[in-house]
Amino acid sequence: MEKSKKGFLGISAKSKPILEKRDLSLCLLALLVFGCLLVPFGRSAWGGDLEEILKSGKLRHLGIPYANFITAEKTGLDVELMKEFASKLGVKYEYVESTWKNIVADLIGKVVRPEGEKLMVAGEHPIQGDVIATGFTVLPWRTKVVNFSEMTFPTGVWLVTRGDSPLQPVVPTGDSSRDIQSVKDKLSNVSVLVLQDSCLDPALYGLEKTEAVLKYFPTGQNLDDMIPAVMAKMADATLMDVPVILTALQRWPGEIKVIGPVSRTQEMACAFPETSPHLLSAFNDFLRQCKKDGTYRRLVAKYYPSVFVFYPEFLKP
Amino acid sequence: MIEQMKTPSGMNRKSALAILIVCLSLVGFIGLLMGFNYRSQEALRKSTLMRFRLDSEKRAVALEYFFSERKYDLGSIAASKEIQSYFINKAMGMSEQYGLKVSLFVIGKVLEKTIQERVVQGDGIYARFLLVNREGKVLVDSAGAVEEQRLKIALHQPGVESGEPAIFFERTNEGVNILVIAPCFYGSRLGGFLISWLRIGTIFDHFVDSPPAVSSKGSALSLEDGGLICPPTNRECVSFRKRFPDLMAQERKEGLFSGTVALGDAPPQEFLLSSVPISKMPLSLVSWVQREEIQGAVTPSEMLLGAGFLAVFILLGAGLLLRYNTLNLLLTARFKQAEKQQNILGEKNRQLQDEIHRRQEAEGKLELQRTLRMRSDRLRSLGEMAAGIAHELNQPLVGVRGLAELLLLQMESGKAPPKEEISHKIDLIVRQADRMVHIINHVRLFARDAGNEKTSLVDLNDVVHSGVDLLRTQLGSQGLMLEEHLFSEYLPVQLNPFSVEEVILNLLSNARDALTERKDGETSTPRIQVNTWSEDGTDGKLAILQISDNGAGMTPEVAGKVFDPFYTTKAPDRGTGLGLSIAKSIVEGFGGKISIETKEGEGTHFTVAFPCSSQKDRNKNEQIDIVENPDCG
Repeated sequence: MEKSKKGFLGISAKSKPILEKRDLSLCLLALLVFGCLLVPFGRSAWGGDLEEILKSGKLRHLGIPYANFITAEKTGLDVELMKEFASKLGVKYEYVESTWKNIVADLIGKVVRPEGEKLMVAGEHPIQGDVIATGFTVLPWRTKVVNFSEMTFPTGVWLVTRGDSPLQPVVPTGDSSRDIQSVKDKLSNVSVLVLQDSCLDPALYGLEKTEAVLKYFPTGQNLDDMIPAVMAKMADATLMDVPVILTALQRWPGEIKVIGPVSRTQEMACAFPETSPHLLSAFNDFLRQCKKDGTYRRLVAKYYPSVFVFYPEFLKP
Repeated sequence: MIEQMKTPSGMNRKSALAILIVCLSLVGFIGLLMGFNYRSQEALRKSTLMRFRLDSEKRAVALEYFFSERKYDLGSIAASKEIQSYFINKAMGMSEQYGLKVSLFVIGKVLEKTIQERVVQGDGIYARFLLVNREGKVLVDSAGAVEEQRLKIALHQPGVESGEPAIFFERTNEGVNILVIAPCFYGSRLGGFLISWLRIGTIFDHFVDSPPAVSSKGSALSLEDGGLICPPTNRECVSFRKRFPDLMAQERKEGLFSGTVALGDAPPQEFLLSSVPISKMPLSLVSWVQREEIQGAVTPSEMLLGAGFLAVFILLGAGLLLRYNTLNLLLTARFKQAEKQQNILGEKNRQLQDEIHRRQEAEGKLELQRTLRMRSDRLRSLGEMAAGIAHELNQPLVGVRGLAELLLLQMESGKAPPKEEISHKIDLIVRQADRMVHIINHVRLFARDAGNEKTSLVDLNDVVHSGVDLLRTQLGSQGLMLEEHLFSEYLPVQLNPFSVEEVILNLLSNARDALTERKDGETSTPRIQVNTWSEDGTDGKLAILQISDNGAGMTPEVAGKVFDPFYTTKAPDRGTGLGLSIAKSIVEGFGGKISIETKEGEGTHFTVAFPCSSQKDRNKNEQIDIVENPDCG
């Protein structure tokens, strides 16, 4: 692990020296702000259930620019979904941008780190939003700290390389476990970009146990930049979830190729604090209604038209 | 009249000449126009043929460009990174399950986009796209259905595998489909084929320009084997398709060939056809047009002939117009002249009527005067008769008085005559009284009937005798000898006896006056002779009355005027000058004649001749029954 971190830093030092300085500055600034907030109040910022949201008159949407869920222009599938939900509740919509590292803390007010199967609470964190909707994968550790809504999007994690990579895609066997193992078997001495604390965290898929050379992508960076990083030869391959691959294959046809799956089929959903059961219930009602009247399918087709090719059962009535 | 007619005639001649010149100029102008028209029609005909040909060539070029574009479209899509990456990724071993499905999805979207975007005025060019691998397995079908059995084209043809997109024709039961097939290479390796079906309707509607319904012109595409590709909705094109091989065998003239084709149920018509090959394509553009539309229903020579007839008609029409115009002018002039004459005649007629009226009035007055004069003259005659009548009445009255006094004296003396004598004398008295009654009745009848137009058949001798009797006594008392020599035979005449008596009285009065005017020293006895006789006239027997005197006679000048009205040589208190005039009119009124023979100093003879009445006339008269003397003499 340490070796791979060094390897990644070594490459990034050459290609993006400014990125590191800005990252450090942001971290220092975040710590300073965090400290200032903790000192006077000694408690988390306000976060409430449905009643408090209705009283406050606004719904705070926590998100990270990521694929077509939230674009750089602050549009996307999840943005439109949350705007519709806020409208349904009769409150104002407010987008709150976060990072993969802090997004859970921004929701629940606590900094939580998975350590194997356990969770480590690293400290308090001001609550920034009421709901996470950003192509948020339902991971086991996340289910311990947040409540997920019903599935909003199917996903999975595949290994992607450049088109000219010598890695050969796996031949589907019909057994996803065997296909995953075939991919892992090809990772010997292959540098793989990963993103800690996200769905691309190598720990989730046991990549540490392979001979792959893991390169941790800076958590402050946009996950969408990982494939361009591979195309820029910053690594031989990268983990990437299916929604991003769908857009990337359309955006860079012939320049990247999918080697095979790293995970089984996963689900994405919206995350709510455990303290907001009514809000979760209201959202699930809203989502079911949207699925029922076709609103949600139209939104998905707008941003991910090819998802139904891979997941023909998704949103099938 | 002649002068009056000269002016319009002269004007007509000038007008006629002007019209003739105008008509000739018009005909000449028409001829000139028709000459130009003939040339322009010929040029137009050639130009239309050329335009028809050029139009076909232009559309053939457009079709060539259209098919080139389609080849380019297919080539571009086949070489697109979407298809390239699919085959590359496929070659790299990527599976559809893990990634290639997206590539196929993207390719499908590209094909759908191409179908949507490639339009001509809203009509799509492509009907369907199909991406197949080199084994023919369908990878993407824009129609959404995988129908491998429909792909009947032999993909691995030399033309296709050479790398260039090619056009193919697929014959089906519905007709012929036009396909564009492009090989999909990645690197130097053949990955598959991109196939597209072109919309026949779009091609025909916008490039071949085939008519949608029965029309005099149309177009179609012909294959190298002579087959004709028609739009399925055009039944007329089907008619050409049946006849096309035969039509193609026709001899071509000016790049065109012709033939007779029956479109649908319409009768056969002659068409001109052009066949223009489409470059780099196994196709030709066949266009047809009804010959009449190009060359017209009437040829230029027929138009020229028609123009000639038109000119002749114009000349004839102008001639007729001229003729009618001249006649009209003449008639108008004559009508005006006749109207003027009618006005003059009307005026004259009115004047004449006024004159007639005046004359009638004058004649009426004259007649009235004449009647008055006649009455006056008759009264004068009566007055003259009065003396004679007085004498006539006096004599019997004297006799009656004498006889009566004698009888009275005898009776008073006591010496009464015998009864027979008394009876004899009374009988004499009665007869004298009868005589007086007769005289008075005669005078009354004379006064009543003289001048009456009513006639009767009488004996002239009786009339003469009666008239002479009226003056006999008076003339005798004046010492004049009256000799009456009447014809011994019956002289039947048809007249008013009293009017003739008036004539006789008049003539006797004149004779008396003539005798009283005799010069002193005349020794002969003044004598008046009245004679009647009969003689033959030109128209039959005549009854003659002649009254002569041996008086002073008359000069010829006076004799010539004695029958003129109001002419008299007497003193105004002794004569009106109408006596002889009236006598003449009376005599002539009964068909007779009166004449005078006189010699100054010797006497005068007035002779009156009446036509004797015929037996026939007499038979009509029931009052007179004379059997023994059927005619004068």
